[in-house]
Amino acid sequence: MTKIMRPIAIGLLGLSVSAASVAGPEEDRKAFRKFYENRFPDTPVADFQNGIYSILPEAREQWESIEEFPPYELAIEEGETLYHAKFANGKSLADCFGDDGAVRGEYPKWDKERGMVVTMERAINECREANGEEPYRYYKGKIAAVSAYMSWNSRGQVVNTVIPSDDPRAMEAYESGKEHFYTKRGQLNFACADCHMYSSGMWFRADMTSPAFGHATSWPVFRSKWQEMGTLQRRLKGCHESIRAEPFKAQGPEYSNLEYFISYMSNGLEFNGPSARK
Amino acid sequence: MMFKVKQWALLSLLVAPVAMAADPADLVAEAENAYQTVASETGYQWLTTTRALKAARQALADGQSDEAIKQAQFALDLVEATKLQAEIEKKAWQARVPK
Repeated sequence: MTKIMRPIAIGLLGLSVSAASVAGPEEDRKAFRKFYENRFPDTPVADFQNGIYSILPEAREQWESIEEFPPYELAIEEGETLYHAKFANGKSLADCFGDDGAVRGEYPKWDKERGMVVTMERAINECREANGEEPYRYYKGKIAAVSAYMSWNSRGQVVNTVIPSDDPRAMEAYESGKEHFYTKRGQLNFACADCHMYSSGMWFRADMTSPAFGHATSWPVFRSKWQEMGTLQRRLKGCHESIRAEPFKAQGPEYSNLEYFISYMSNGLEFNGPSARK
Repeated sequence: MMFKVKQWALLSLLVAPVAMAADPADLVAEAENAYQTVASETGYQWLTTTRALKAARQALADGQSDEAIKQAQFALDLVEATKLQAEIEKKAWQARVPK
């Protein structure tokens, strides 16, 4: 009996392992969302777009007061000016993204021609470079201002990150981002999932860790700690530094694939950036 | 035969620190090389290691051999730990994916 059962057991084990490793993005997303619904049963699903304030009522009231006179307002104004400023060739960002730049819902997107993930911030700089202008520096400053203006005009668009099924490289990029999210790094040996999934809603000294579901919706943000605007990838860099891991290059494949993954996980929520965070 | 092996092992343990202390520049170079190798092979690197290497280079430039050796050795130890982490995480991350 044992001799018969052993190969079956091994076969079943193999099947379960392979099923786990080949779960598609939709299965991943459903399990991801279900995890947070179970963990925070009092939070309506749509509210996860508000990050930490979706699970921390004590801070939410203060945040809502801040949002009445938002600290990112000046960035939106600066972004609007930059967005419509003419390049040396007489064109502007509006020639790439339309009059109001309300295209946040299209990003991050898969570029089949180049086989890579393109974030909105990368697209902004590529538009500038295509028109003979210097790219902005990533993470903060002008790139965050333009991103704030475009995000403001995109508010209410639904996150709909697409992984084209006809290009296996897109799935590889998604899988790479997924692996990154769940992999421990740095001297402190933390994965993104450790803080923002399995410890989400728990206090780390004076801060509560936010749920990763909805992490992609509210960027760029004015962060009180920074006293200025920053992009999502700036925050990723900061997270890596906090766990004593060497950060990756801005807009490189590591961060862009990670952005691709967490955006896909937030599919169905609304973009509500720019926003304010602690 | 076994006795000879033990003798060599003991001798190498005694000689190794002396050899390392003999040329701090070599040890710093070794640590830098190990750091780059792990970074390119695994994509993993720790900020602490970067800082230890920077301190080792600075100590070397300042002529502080003991400090350079200490920091380079620390960096080498961290690189080993980073390699171990990368090895473990090759498979371990999959267990964290919710089903």
